[in-house]
Amino acid sequence: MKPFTSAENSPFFVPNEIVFFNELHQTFLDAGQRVGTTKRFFHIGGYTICLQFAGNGLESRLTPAIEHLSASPCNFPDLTVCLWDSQSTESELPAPPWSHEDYGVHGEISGYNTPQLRTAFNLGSGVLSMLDTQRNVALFWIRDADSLPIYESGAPLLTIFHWWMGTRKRQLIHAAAIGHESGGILLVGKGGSGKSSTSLRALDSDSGLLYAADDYCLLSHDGTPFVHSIYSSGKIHSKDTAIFPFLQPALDKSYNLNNEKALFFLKDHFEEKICPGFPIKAVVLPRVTGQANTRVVQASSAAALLALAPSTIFQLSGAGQPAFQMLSELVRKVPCYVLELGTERAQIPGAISDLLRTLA
Amino acid sequence: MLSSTTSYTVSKPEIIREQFDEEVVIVDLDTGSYYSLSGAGGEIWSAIESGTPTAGIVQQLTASYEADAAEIEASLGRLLEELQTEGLITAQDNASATWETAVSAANDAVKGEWQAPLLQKFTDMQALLLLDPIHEVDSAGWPQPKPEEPVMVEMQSNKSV
Repeated sequence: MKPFTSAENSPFFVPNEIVFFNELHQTFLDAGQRVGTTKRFFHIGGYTICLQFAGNGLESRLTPAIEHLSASPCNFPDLTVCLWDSQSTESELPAPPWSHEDYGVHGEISGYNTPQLRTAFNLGSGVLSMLDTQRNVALFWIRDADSLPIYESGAPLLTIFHWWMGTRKRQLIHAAAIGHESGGILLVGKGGSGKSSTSLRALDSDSGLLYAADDYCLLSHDGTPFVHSIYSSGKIHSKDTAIFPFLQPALDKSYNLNNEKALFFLKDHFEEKICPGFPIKAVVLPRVTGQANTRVVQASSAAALLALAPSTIFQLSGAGQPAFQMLSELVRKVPCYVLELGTERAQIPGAISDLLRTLA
Repeated sequence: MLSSTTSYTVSKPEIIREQFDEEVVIVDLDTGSYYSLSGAGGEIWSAIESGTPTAGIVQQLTASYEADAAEIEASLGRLLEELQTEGLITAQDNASATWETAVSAANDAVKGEWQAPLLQKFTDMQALLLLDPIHEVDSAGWPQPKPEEPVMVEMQSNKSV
């Protein structure tokens, strides 16, 4: 038998990054032992995901946005995410084994992103995310749950979902989605283009349109393109809240309106209008025109890709060529349109329903 | 004046692109810039990617379009300059003659209306690639989040190259 020439060749060798992941995981387990744990299960993108919280700092802040996908407990979830904060669990993390120079643009840690392991520390929010893709265990840590920013409550675990779903042929995309269970549209475009306002308006219409996403959703592409809802939250500019009076009951009052965005949790107030997903019939680019009437006009596949791909790729850690390829295939596969948004806002859901009827 | 034997290659793997019939979408993953290349730009980009030298591209375009050869050459020259300035392509002196087949095929076709290539550049994603500074760290060495309330990144205006 050939002798091992170095420790790396040993079948018992554990790489440094996995050793550190295990240390953090143990910190979580110790914290859970001390203050107790809570498990919540969610059915997201066709998979069962267990969120295991140590302490009570994070659950109430991270689960409202995914409450519409709440599932029954199971013994063997596809992914387990361990979540804790140091403040409420009175636990400390071991020191990071990397240096300041190792932080990348999305907080990816150089040397700690391998085929097995993904690591990012978001310098804006202070959230550490790690994922072991072989063991299907992820870690989510923040020093103090009270400092969790509004965008983490509105779209919790975005980085971990993006990484893990990518291993399951699910692409997290920057798009809103509304339609019917039989089929709907993706609304794509940069911030301020009208994605959120158009999708949220479906909640207040008798058009029969259902809401699946206002900002992020999952795309699967095994044959027919399909969008999966992840979040039943909505965000609009705080200055625009008066235009959406029907959303007032759903306003998350834990963040004050001095923030740039107001956050809404929709499940308890619009449950019958939230849909877990549907086949994608079209990609639609909303555009504010200043004209009175809303109308739909054809758009090129290239225009749709320009509206969808860059904002998806550059917002998500590690998204690149594979995401671009998947989105390119999508805009080639389904028709693309511009939705010219009129000032007579009540027309908007009807225009989308009319479009879906023509595509049925 | 274009060098007839110069061909071009896409500068780096981080430049990803998708070619549609009439338009190419190009994304530079390093810089956050992305581009729409329209008009005759799609055909020119195909020729660039196939390694056709400049003289071959000019010949292919003049055989395909109803336009003065000098006008086509000037448009091509401007576009190649823009693409190089943006770091999307790199020049190579390479007198390959692999373009002959494309030209003969184009000679047999009905000439189309010339639409000068147009490269539009979008920079609104660059803000997403800015590295957050590390303000301070705790006693264990973990960075502290920004002291101010984080806000959503909003997109900025686009511009043509």
